[in-house]
Amino acid sequence: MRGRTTPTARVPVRRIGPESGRETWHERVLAANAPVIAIDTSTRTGGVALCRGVVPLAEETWLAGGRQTAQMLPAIERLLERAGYTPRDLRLVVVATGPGSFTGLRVGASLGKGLAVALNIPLVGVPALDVVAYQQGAAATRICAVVDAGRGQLYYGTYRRRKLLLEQVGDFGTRTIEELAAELAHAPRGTLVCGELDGSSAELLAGELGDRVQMGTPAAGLRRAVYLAELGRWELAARGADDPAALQPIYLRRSA
Amino acid sequence: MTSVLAIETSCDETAAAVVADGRRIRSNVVFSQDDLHRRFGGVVPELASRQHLLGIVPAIEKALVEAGIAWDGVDAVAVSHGPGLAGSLLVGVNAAKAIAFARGIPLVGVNHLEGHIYANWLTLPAGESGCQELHEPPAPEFPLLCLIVSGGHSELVIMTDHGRYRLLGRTRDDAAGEAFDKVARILGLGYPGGPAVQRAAAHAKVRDAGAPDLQLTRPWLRGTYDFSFSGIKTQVLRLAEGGSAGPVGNPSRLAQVAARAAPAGTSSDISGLLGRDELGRSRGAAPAGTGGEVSRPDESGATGRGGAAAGGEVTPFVAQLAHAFQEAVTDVLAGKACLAAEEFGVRRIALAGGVAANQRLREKLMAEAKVPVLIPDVTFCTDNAAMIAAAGYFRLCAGHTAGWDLDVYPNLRLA
Repeated sequence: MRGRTTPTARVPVRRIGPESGRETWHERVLAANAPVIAIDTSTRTGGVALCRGVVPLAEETWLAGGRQTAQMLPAIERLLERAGYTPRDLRLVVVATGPGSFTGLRVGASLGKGLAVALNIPLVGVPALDVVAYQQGAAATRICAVVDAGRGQLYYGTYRRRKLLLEQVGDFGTRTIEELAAELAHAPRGTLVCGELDGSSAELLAGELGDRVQMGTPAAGLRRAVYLAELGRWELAARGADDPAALQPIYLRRSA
Repeated sequence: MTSVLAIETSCDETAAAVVADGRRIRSNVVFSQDDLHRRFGGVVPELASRQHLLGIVPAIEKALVEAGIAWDGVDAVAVSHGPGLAGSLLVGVNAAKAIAFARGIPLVGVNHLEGHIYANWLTLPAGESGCQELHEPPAPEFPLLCLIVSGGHSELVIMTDHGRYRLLGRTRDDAAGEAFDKVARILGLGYPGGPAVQRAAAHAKVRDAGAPDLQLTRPWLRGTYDFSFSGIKTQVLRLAEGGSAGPVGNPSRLAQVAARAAPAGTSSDISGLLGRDELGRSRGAAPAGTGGEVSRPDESGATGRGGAAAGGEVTPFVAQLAHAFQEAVTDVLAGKACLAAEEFGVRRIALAGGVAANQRLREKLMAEAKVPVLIPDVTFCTDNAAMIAAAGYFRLCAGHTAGWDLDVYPNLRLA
């Protein structure tokens, strides 16, 4: 993982959001009203969003299952049409890099790469777990974000909030729901657990951990591509664009 | 002039090409993943997909640079969307869709097998083909009998016009190229198997002209145009193990051959290789020690130990086996193609697919066919994107463009 380690902390900390970097050449090039497209195919739930600068214009989020190759580009076309844009108006492509379904992630990455090279515009990859944490808002100070890893497992990442800034603490990992419950027993009181949790998993966590953790609702845990677009702009400002040839998803394995 | 940018990622080659008017190659970029998969003795789908994602942008950019055109010079995008490995296909399909959408140009979905057939329409630029003539060779004439033989396919198809196909027969088990790969693994000849078996077989002819031929069965499947190659492969396996060749073998004669041809220790070396081969296990012919354990090809270990590929030396017995196998497979392929050509009164026979690179198959078809045989340049027999561009161009001319909802079809049929 890319990331910045603070001198005092032993665990890697990665900064996400509005204060994650100073304005750079890229941010100045990307005009305030530049159209941004964001694509998230990390799990069975997919999403696309179109923003004009920081202003969200349109968004679609749906359970695409294995039909992402067939459904993503028509959805992007709908968003552009609604906003009265053509593909050539786009100035930035943001794709979610997971962790998640390897196949799903490659759908979004291939689409993003194709758009970026054919339009000669920057491409930025953003972890899907960052999106889950980022969209929880300023009230959540400790967050454990999860996405479905299939076969009863979850990919997770832990985050803490410092004012507007969000920091990822440690690395992304893979756990069964029981393992995650054991891990969260040591988490700071009030940690918000959110993301793709089914009903029984949420019940298990609530039962094991009581009020040590707060459980996010399914709606709050739904990854929204408008937040992905926003994070993409911050990432572009903080560290510049990704190389479209080299960009690849976070290939985090399920444990055996 | 219409320039089609094509993308091909159906198996383990990341390829992009630009072809003008469906025939003239302006660029043809193929990033092979052979080195990546060699140690597994076959294509590992997840590794292939990851490599495609890393290779796709460099392949496309290189194809444009070599063609000497910018994005404005691309008139349409063609992509192979099946058959093939789903995870591999979707990298090329999604990239192609995004490019066509971004540039506002037509998208064409091409059947990978159709692409192999259209390799016969491709012409090398003047100068590269060794001749300076500027006129193109004539295009193939219909009806055309197509023998498509590759790692994943063995099909006999009649093509009556652009885009019009009738399937006569296909393999019932292993594809021809797959059988070559498996036999190469059995004999420790390395990967990919087609060239390896051909090299070893050539060795046999030179060195052991006097040795009696090993005769393997010829599965004609009379009354159909279907193929079956797993039986021949199993015979090679049994012979390599030093056992009986099955119904058509003559054990005493084979023993003689083996005794004459193989230096001491060879057969045990081969058994050692077989111990790690999934074929023996899955066919119930497992050598002692493998305990019937079943392993997918993806997970099976390397064939590396000792194998002829590593040492560069092929034992006479292995060479004999490779030769016998190659003769049996090419006899059936050429024989059935010629039979079909006569029955259906075609004007040309077109060879297509990776196994079309096999010299013996080419020789036999040329010798036996009563109509002209078209054979693509070896470069265009294996997977490439130029052939996808050619097929895509003729689909485009017929108005068969794809929507943005184009999906991948791992089991896409030609007819």
